[in-house]
Amino acid sequence: MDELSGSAQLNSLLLNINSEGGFPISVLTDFQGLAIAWAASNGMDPERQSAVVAFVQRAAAQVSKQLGMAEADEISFYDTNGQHLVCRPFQVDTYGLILAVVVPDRGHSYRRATNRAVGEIRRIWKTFWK
Amino acid sequence: MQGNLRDMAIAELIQLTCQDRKTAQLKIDHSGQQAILYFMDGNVAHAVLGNQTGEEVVYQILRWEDGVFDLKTGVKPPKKTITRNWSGILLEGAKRLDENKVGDDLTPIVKNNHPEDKGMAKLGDMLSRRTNFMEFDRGDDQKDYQKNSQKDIQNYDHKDNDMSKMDDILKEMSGEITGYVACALVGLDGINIASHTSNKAADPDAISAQLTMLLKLVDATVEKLGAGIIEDNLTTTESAYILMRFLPGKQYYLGMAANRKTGNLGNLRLISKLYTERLAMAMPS
Amino acid sequence: MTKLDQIIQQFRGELGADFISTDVVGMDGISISGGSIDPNFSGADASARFSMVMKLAAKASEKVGMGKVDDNLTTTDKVYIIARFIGDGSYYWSVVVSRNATLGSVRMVINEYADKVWEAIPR
Repeated sequence: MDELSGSAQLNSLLLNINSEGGFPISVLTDFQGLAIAWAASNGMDPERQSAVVAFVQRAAAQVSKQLGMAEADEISFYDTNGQHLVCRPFQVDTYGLILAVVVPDRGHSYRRATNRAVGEIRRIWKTFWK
Repeated sequence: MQGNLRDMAIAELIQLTCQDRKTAQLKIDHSGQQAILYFMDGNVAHAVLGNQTGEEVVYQILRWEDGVFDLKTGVKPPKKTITRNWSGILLEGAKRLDENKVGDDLTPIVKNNHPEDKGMAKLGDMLSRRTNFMEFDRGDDQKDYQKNSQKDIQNYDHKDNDMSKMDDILKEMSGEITGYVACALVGLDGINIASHTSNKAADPDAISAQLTMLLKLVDATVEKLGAGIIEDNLTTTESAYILMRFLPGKQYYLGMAANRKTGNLGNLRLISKLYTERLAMAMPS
Repeated sequence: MTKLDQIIQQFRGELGADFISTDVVGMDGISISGGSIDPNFSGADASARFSMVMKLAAKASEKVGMGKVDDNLTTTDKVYIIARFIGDGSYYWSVVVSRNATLGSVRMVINEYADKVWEAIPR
């Protein structure tokens, strides 16, 4: 994996967490809603996902501010079918990033996979782009 | 194509038309006067201003800073009154700026005080940067000018190492762009300082010349509208994303292209931000 | 209010506080619908100038073999300016939003409205 570029490693990482976590889609997006990397099954729209995720993050940031809370570590949407969207906003250097995955049902664990992914994204960033 | 000289100077119009190897007619209206330039297969062939024709007309109008232009391709010159190649004409124009010398029947200029001097200053600046930093096609009549720039030529050897560094950075960057097609570091005169492409059939020089025109027009437009300071410009086409980002100082820009289907915007913008910083640091001072 | 004006109003509502200006412009540079919340921003001037940008972008893309242009996005320190060809390319639609806007969302909404805008243009 060390032979790959930083961008390729990010794409590969997201493929791995999809496989590990059973996620149909995962995206790494900037705060402007443009995807930096993604891994998606057929029929999923990573660009739309990225745009929506950034929108969600922005709304959550305003909520936190209004309530006097610290920044959100995780934001989740659940639908009536039990599928849910998990957004993990975080900072690397001066860049605001969001890792978002769709978890197929409530029974699926996701926290460990997303924690590991955030750590790995920081490592890749530091190795290639710091 | 029509436009305003405030958005694109005459020297730039000449350069881009010739680099494109066009046959064309360029009409320029300025303060009640109209000059017409004719291009044939990428060289200036004929110029008319009132009763004057030939090369001196070009040197006069190179100083026009405001006015409107209309460029029509496919119009052949009615005659040939200019034999010097286009880059020689622009170099001679810059030399005249340096020497404060004008054609026989032109108004003498006072350097830096004449309002039309700004157009020539832009031309001179453009050409001196090119002489200092980049290789370009010098015709026989440019060798005199080259002798006067001996110091620049000696310095040029040092530039080889810098150029190699730029190439290395672009090559590394190409690996980071998802759906990568091509990238180039380009001066605002449209000449590549360094370029890299995965498509051997592509002509990086021709591409940069076209895109430079676009970036300069966008920059001028943004400034006129008071919309702030431009950071980047992205064109999405049916087959590609084309991103252009200025380096600090806005004398150079980084151009990148990625495949529309396999590339993605966030990656392209992120990599452009990261690598313009690196390229700026690697530029010779 | 024409149908086009109504659609543009709806679109403005979707963008909320990030919206600055929008215009639907013929390639002659004349705006046929739109408006701005900034009294210092001349929509007419912007429309004319950006029609030149779009023409040049289309020409440049054709010359370098990159195909037809869909849109052009300019980022400045103050705003995003998005100009998008609509329909058969005889019109373009410009949208100016603040830098606070979520760009991906704005692009998504523009894409959703583009066909409606085109159909509403009187022909």
